[in-house]
Amino acid sequence: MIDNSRLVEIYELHKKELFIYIYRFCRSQESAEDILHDCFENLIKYSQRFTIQDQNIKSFLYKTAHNLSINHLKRSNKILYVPIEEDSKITDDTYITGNIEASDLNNKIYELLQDIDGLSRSVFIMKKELGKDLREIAEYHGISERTARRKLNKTLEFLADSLKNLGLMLFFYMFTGIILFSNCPII
Amino acid sequence: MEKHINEQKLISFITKSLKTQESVNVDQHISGCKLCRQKHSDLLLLLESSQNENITPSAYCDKRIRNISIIPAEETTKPAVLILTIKMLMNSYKPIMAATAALLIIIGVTGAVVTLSRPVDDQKTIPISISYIKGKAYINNHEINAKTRIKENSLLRVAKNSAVVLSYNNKFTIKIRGESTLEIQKALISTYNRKAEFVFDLKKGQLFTKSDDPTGRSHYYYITPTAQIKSSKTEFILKVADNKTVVIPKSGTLKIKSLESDEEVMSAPYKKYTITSSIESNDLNDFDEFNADTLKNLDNPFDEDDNFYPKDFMDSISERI
Repeated sequence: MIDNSRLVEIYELHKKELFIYIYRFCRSQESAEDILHDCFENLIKYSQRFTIQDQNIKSFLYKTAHNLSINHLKRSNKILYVPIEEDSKITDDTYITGNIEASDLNNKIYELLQDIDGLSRSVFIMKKELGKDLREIAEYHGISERTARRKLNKTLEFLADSLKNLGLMLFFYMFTGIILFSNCPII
Repeated sequence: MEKHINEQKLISFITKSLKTQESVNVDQHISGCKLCRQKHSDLLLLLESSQNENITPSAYCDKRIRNISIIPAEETTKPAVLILTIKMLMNSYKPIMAATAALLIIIGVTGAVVTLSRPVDDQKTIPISISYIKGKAYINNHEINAKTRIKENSLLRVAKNSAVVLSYNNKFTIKIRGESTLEIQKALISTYNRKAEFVFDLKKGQLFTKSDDPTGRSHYYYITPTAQIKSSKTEFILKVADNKTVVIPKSGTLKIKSLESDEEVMSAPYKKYTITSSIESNDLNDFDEFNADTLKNLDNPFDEDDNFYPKDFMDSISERI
């Protein structure tokens, strides 16, 4: 069983990373803190009934965080199970992000992520925010690495497709401005 | 090799989904093709980490988790023993149990009749107290005094040349000026565990608020006809007139949102934010009558002369609204 001092050790080791993951999933500081608390509470309860190896603690915490986050979003009716289209049409158009500032881009990405299934969102957040490799991500979710890779691919295609119009519009306006400016007789 | 690489293939390249030779070909192509290199960079941006340095659990959360109470597993078997004991006792003392049950029913019914005959007051009292009143003020059209209890959904109206100061557990204070109307509500902020915070709906008028919770936890937010303002450890002036909201932070950071456009800004101290369908910010030096020292002196909410808001300063805000 995990005692108090061990709990504090585990908490200090994993809290930052776990909190970022939960926060990016739920997008609410208060809910993320509640979920973080419940993750560790569940860990203690689990350790009272079963033996948990040190190397499995992190995986347990992430799985719990994922499940609690999904439940929270379901209760708030914020989660829509929209499978990413297998045949989403990707064109050869360029400039997905164009001149969008990084912070605006990330805000937009997380808005768009609300529309995809929980597993794809989770895989993407772990890759983007926590720098995990796909083997590790697959292990946390109990899926194959191939499935994790496929989920990530589809998420990136979805985001690229969704962001493309915004990027293109900005590029168009910038390009038009350059043409007009360069034709100005004063310059 | 195709002239340019399509996006799907680039994504597969990034996620290492391609076979070795294909991957090498794509890599070589990217090195020599500016357009595909740009596409590749754009896609990599999607996976670039956001600013996460400030995303941490609060001190309050740390404390909660460190103090999680650990109940030994053996104790969870106690309820079964307890139920068995109750059953044994009930069998032994049936007549006495029957008489006791009858008596309890009579008491319960009597109590219910007495309770139901009282006037119904379904609004709960909230833990906000009235620290100071100058002049006259009303809640739901009833004049109030320092002992008045504030309930949920109270509409506070402060008369002309009057002032009211509200406080909550030394965690925040609000001074509301004359000719102001403020509705005090309670809202759920976390459906996860039903945690509540206060909502102050300033319908018109002006106030100064100071939040001092050392944990930095936010207990409230403001709504006006055009804006939503959320804060933790901050001090700021808030004014509503016609269809405009003006916010002037003295310290800390506020999250200000326009209700019409959903535009959001994080405020800086000593700037004036005007919220209509958009959020406009100006330096305070725009005011001829104002200087930063005036704002610095807004400390004591209990100033009976109401020098709390220097007349010139507040008038200067009015002119610009």
